[in-house]
Amino acid sequence: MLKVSRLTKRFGGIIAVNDVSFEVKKGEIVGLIGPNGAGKSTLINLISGFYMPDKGSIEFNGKEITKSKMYERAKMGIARTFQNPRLVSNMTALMNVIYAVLGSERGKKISLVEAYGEAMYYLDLFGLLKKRDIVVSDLPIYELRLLELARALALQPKLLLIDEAMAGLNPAEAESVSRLINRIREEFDLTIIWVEHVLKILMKSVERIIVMHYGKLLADGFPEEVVKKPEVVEAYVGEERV
Amino acid sequence: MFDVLSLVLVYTFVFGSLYLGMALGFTIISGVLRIFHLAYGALFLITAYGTWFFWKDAGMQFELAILLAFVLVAIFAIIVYRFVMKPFIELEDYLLAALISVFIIVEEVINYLYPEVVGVYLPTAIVKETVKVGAANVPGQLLITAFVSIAMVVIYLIFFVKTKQGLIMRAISQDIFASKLVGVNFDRMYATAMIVASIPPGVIILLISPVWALNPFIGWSLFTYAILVTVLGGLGNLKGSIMAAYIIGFIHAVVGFAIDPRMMLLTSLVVVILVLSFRPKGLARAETIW
Repeated sequence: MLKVSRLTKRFGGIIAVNDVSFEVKKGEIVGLIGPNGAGKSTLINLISGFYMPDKGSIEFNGKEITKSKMYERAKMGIARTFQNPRLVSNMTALMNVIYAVLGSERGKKISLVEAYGEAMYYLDLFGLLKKRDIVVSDLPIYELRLLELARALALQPKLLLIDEAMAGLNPAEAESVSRLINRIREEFDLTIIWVEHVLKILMKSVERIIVMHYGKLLADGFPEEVVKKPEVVEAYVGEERV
Repeated sequence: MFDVLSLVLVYTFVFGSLYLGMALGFTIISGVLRIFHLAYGALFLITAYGTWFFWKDAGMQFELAILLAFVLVAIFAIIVYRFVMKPFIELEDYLLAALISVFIIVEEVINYLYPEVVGVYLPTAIVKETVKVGAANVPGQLLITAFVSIAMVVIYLIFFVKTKQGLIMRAISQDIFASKLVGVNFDRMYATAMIVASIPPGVIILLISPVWALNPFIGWSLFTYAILVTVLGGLGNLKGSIMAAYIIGFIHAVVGFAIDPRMMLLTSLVVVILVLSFRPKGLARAETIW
C-alpha cells in the first residue's frame, strides 16, 4: 500500500530523515518509535504531505505521490492526527467532522444533510455525540484526541497516520484511545502507522515496529524481536526501560 | 425634533445599507482569504466601465453588456488571485504593494480610455422619483439600492450558513491548515471566494451610478467606505460589518443633517480610530466570517 524509498529531509544542516526506505502492506498496523529527535514526526509529515522531501519517493497504492499536495493526499485516503490536535478551534465538534466529510472524495456527491448524518455517526463511534455542539476550544485533551480520530475517519481513509495519540492522557484514557484505534482498524479495514512514546501500549497493539534513530531507520520487524536488538536497546529502549 | 429624528433614522438605514453593500465583498475577502484586498476598488470601476464598453463601444444590448461586465470582473478577480495574491500570499508587504498597484493601473487605464469629459452614464435607474419616508425625501434609487444591499447580505448569509461551499469557506476562514488536512482544495475555494466577492461591488456601482455620477476615480471613495465598515466590524466578520455599517450610517446621518455634510467622512474616520484604540480587533472579535 505504501512504499517509501530513500526518503531524505534536511532542515539547514540537520538531516531529520536520512535515506529511509520501507514498505507497509494493506491492513498492517505499524508502530514507529525512536528517541526524541529521531525523525518520526518528520517522516509522518513527509508521508502526509506536510513537508516535501529533498530526495526519495513515496508511492501510495501504486501511485507516485511524492509531489502531491497535502489536500490531494487527504483526498486519496491518507488521514492523520497530530501530537497537538489541529482542529478548527472556533467550530463545534460536529462542524469539524462535517467539514471532513465534505472535504473527502465523496463530499461533492452528498448533501449537507447527509454529511450531517455521517458526522453524527463518526461522533457516536467515539462517544462524542453529547459533545457535538461544544466548541472545540472548550474540549479537554482526551476528547480532542477522540475528535481528531473521528475527523480522520470521516475522510474514509485507507492509511491512517497517528502521531502520539497518548500524549497528555492519563493511563486509563490512553488505554481507551488504544482500544478505539484497534477497533476502528478492524471495523474499517485500515492500514495504520502509529508514532508513539508509550511503548507498553504500542507493543500490545502493533504487529510490526520500525525504529528510527538520528533520522535513519535502525530496525524493522516484530515488536518482541525489535526491542531486543542491542542497537535498539542502546538507542531507545534502554532510555524508556520497556 | 421628530422631523430630525425621522431624517436621521431613515438615512441611517439608507447610508448604512449602502455602506454594507459596498463592504460586503471586501468583508468576504478579508474573512476567507485573510487578505486586505487593496485592489478591491477596481471591482467597482471594472463593472461600471465594462458595462459602458460592451454597451456603447461594442454595441451590445444593455442587459448583455451588464452580464459581460460581471464576467469581466470575475476574470479580473481570478487573475488578481492567481498572479498577484497567490505568489505573494506569504509576503504581506509585497502583496499590499502589488494590490494597490493593480488598483492604480486599472484606474489610470480607465481614466485614459474614458476620462470624466466622456460623461459615462449608465441608465440603471429603477426608480427616478424621490420617495417620502417620514420627514425624509429619499431618492427612490438609493432606497432600492439599500434594499438590494440587504437582500445581497441575506443571500450571502444563507450561502455561508446553509451550503456546503459556504461551510467550507467558513472553515477555511478560521484555519487554512485544517482545510488541507481534510482534503479541501483551498486554492479553488479561494478563487471561488474572489469571484463571489466581486459581485456585490458591481451591483452597488450599477445601482448608485444614476445618483452618484460616475468618474474614473469613484472607486477610491466607495473603497474608503468598504474599508471603514470592514475594519470597524472586525476585518472579515459579517456580523461585525453589519453593525459597523449602520453605526457609520448613523454617524453620517447625524453629522450630515445636524452639523455639516462635509464633516461626515472625517467624523466617521475619527470614530473608527477611537473605537479601534479601545477594541483593536474591531466590533466582532470572532476570527471567522460568521
